Amino acid sequence: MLVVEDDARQRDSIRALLGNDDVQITAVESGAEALAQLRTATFDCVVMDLTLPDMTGDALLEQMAEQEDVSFPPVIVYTGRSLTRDEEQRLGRFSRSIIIKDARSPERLLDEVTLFLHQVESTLPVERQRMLKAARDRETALEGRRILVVEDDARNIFALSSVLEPKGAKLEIARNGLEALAALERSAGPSGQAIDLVLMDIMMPEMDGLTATREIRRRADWKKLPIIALTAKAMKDDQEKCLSAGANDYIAKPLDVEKLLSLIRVWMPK
Amino acid sequence: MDAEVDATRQAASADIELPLLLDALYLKYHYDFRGYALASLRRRLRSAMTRFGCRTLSQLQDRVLHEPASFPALLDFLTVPVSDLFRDPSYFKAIRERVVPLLRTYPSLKIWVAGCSTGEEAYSLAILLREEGLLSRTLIYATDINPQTLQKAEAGVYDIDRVAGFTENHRRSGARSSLSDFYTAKYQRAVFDKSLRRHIVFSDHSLATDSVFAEVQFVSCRNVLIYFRRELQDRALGLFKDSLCRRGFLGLGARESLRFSTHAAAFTEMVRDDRLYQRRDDA
Repeated sequence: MLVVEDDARQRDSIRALLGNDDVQITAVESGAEALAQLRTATFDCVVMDLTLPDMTGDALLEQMAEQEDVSFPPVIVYTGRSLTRDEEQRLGRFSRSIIIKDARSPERLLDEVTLFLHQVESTLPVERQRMLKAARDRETALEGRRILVVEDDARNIFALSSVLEPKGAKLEIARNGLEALAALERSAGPSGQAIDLVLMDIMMPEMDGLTATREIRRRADWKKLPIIALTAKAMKDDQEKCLSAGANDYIAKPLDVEKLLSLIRVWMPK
Repeated sequence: MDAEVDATRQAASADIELPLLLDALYLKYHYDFRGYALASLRRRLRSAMTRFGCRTLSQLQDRVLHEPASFPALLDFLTVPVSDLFRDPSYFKAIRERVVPLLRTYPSLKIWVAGCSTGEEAYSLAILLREEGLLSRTLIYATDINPQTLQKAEAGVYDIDRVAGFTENHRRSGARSSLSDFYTAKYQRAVFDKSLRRHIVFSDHSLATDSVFAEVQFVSCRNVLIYFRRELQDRALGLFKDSLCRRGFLGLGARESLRFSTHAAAFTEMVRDDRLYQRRDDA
């Protein structure tokens, strides 16, 4: 296990908390050292602070994700400061869980680490297979296509990006209807890149998915933009509401990944 | 003697009519009460029959099938639970003492109040979280099947006569401030602060037919399961389990328990008397 923490005292206390006969801990104090360690050894889990002397935790995560030859184990962000929703969302795309340091956080850190190490044992081969498969899995239908995911649930965003990104799709995330409209405006702007398809959650704060879909359809240039509604509601008339608001299709939650992929293939403009 | 025989016959017919009526409501309006506990359904439907001037459940069925405008009124009879702010203060005290310290370790929080009725529970939690300094990073989903009660919940307006009781409950929940900081009273009504409302999404969701919609750290569902039969209770508890993050919290009503549920093994008991549970890691 790799611990990235610049404060010596905290490093020691994490080591004391997590270390035992079965868990080997390598502790480093900078992002550069962390990257060096990741290149030379395989870790089952990384615990990292966000404030490091040489780079932000954010930047470290991005570099870990970019370097193809560096292994990318599950990351737990362990931070003393509170995060904005944007920061949390950015971090959430690369890290499995985020823990804010507080009186009860050591206990939660121990739980999460134990859980990951346990999971690693039982699922590593599957995870490796998935990564290998991902490399060969870039199908042309999704390669380079931009999908706007309008969803505020971290778990669903994580699931969607882990399915769609390996297939070459570029995801843009909006957390509610208002953000979705703003993202579409931006994409239509001079420096924007066109969005090919929208996955629209229905139950969201600020502006719900039905309202957002209706708003999108009011604009002439977005009349043909494919919108797939993601709904937790199972009744026929709930689904009809999605269609009459202007969605092209809908899929029920919890999301069946294979079914969603077929739906996206169906509606993605050729 | 004759009256007694008559009453027995009527009861026997009602046993035939009740499932027919529930099927009719489901087929026509897609509201599924078929998994609800029979004793309370019968009681509620008897009041509805009086209100609609119907002698039998068949007459009520005829009415509601052919006069769609009467359905919302019937729905109000079928979903009556009333609540108070900080109802069962010790529940909220236990949340402050046992749940909040762990909630602090999450960068952002989602809470699901299932069966929120007219919103009392959702506002109570919002106030508690504001007092504990957590509301700014929290989103509360408050769901119910009755669109009329959801509207009331959204308005956050309560009769002023209820506020004294609310205040007493709030104080006993370990309050860190005065309840009056959170409402404005005028014209016999108290309206709760709009800044609380901004952290609550009120939404239509059925525990009988809909599925999980978000990952949350805490589910509070009190005095809802007592109106459900075992299978529907298990369905609802399954949704809560799937919605909760690992080690997430579940709060039930004072007369509800996980003990006989098929999901019992997925939770540990945190505070027995206040019906607070925690989801296990391996569930």
